[in-house]
Amino acid sequence: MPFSYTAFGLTISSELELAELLAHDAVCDVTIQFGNVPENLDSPTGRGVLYQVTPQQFLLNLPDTARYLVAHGDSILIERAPNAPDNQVRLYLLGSVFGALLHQRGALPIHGSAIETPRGAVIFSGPSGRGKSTLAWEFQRRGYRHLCDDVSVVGFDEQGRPIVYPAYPQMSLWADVLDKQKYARADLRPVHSELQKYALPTRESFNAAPVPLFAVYVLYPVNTDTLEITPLKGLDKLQILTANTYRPRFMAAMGKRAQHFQLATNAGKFIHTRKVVRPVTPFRLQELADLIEKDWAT
Amino acid sequence: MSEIVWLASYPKSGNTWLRVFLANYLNNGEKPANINELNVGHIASARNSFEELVGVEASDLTPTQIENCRPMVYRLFAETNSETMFLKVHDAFLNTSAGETMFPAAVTRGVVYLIRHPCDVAISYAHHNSHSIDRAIEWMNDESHTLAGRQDGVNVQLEQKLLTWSKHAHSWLGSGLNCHVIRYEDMLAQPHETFGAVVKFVGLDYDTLRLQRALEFSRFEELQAQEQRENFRERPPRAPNFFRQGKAGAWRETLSVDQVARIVDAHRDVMQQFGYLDEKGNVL
Repeated sequence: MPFSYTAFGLTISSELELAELLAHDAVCDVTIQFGNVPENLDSPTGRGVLYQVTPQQFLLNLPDTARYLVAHGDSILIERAPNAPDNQVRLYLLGSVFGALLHQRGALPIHGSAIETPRGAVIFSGPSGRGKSTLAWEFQRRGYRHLCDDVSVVGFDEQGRPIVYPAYPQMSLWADVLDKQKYARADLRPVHSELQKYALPTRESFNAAPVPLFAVYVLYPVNTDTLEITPLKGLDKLQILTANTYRPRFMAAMGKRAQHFQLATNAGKFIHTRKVVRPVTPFRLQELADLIEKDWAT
Repeated sequence: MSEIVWLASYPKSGNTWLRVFLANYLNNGEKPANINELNVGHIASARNSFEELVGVEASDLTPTQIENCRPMVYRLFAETNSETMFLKVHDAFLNTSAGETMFPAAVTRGVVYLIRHPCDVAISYAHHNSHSIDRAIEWMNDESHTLAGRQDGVNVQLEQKLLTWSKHAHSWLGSGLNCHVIRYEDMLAQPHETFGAVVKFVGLDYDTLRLQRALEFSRFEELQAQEQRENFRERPPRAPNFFRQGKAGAWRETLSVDQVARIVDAHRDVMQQFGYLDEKGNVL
């Protein structure tokens, strides 16, 4: 009997237990099964070190963990390596593998973490290592509800307005971030047995319903002493949405560039985008969060 | 399909200066290249381009997994580009744990290896990291010294193993790749000859006027002036400036006899090989 879940606005039937996700009973959009996964795809239109792409298929190969085959936006096949720990199999499944599936479905996944504010959903975006999760965690501790960590899926409601689909109630945070905030990490589960990155459950503060997207804040740590928030307009706004799309090379190799550009354009019409400059060090997390809070309130 | 020229050096040996020169030479523009928009010599250990080409977050991979992905990343770089690519590298030339060389010969056009007097490197490296000169000397003598090696948080760059200052040089010069060595001191004292030889080595069209102008646009005073006008984004957060002195021989006034001795004891052979130590053991 497979498990049933909901995440990223999808209902999922899975043979692999995914403790991170919220349970759900309904018709399913996506099935996750174990089976034999080929080592290569026929005539890939794009590839990276660990992945191959065709317009309809995506293959991710994590040596010693698993091979994953994503097809037609509705199925994921997993062939796990002998003795691969469950949490590692789930780590790449819930990241790049779902990212590829969302691109296959023609969604707009943004590389960023999202929270719900009184104005709507706010995404903190940017390449990895810029403080997206740290900032989302700070707002969660300030009482805002959590929506997404690392990947925020943007879809559109019946009026064509952008909405954020909640992902699942968990944040991944590094040891140094938890330690700096004096958060005891003894009870937390590492996302990978060899990494000091921990899974922080957010079930109590998680909002499981889609929320209209209000703004995207893109983080830029630079050599400066100042914190600065600048509104972006026109082409800059569009550029920021396309540049911060999750795994754009997957999407491009699927032949979805034009469609993706249209999605970003449509989203851009309704939302605010901001460039956030912060010092590389110290992070000045509290001040930055105060400033962002003030920004969306006005 | 293109090939890669590795701009390889121990930190603080003139790599950024060479990149600024190459940017100016390639741009061949009317005014100096902006140091914050250098389109030449991106660092080979950058995280973001690694992640895009690998397909998963570097922060979800172990250091060993990352290392084993790197040779393939560079092959893909070469495959997806049409022009010669310059990549800056501080890593020593090492094999991955899977037994491959980190920087594959198959996609390498050549290596420009930059070397600088280790006594001056010690001063500059200390300044760069806001640490003491003694600490910098320890790093240069430490075979396990790495950049971006922290394990409890996220790094902007991938981990880079440097080895000691002399083993770094040995590793590249013994790599079997086509290496052209330039000394920082010669970049200062004979810029035409030194930079001109690089232009020829990497296979760019040699043009004296263009060379002259690129040298003018990458003069130390120009770089310093640009850094004063606007921040240099590659400056380490705790250091007051990146372009500090641009001189050779500051160690004579700055280092103690004991500090010099520690450097010489650890790096005698390579110092002699590159003219930083004479046969009698005098530091030059």
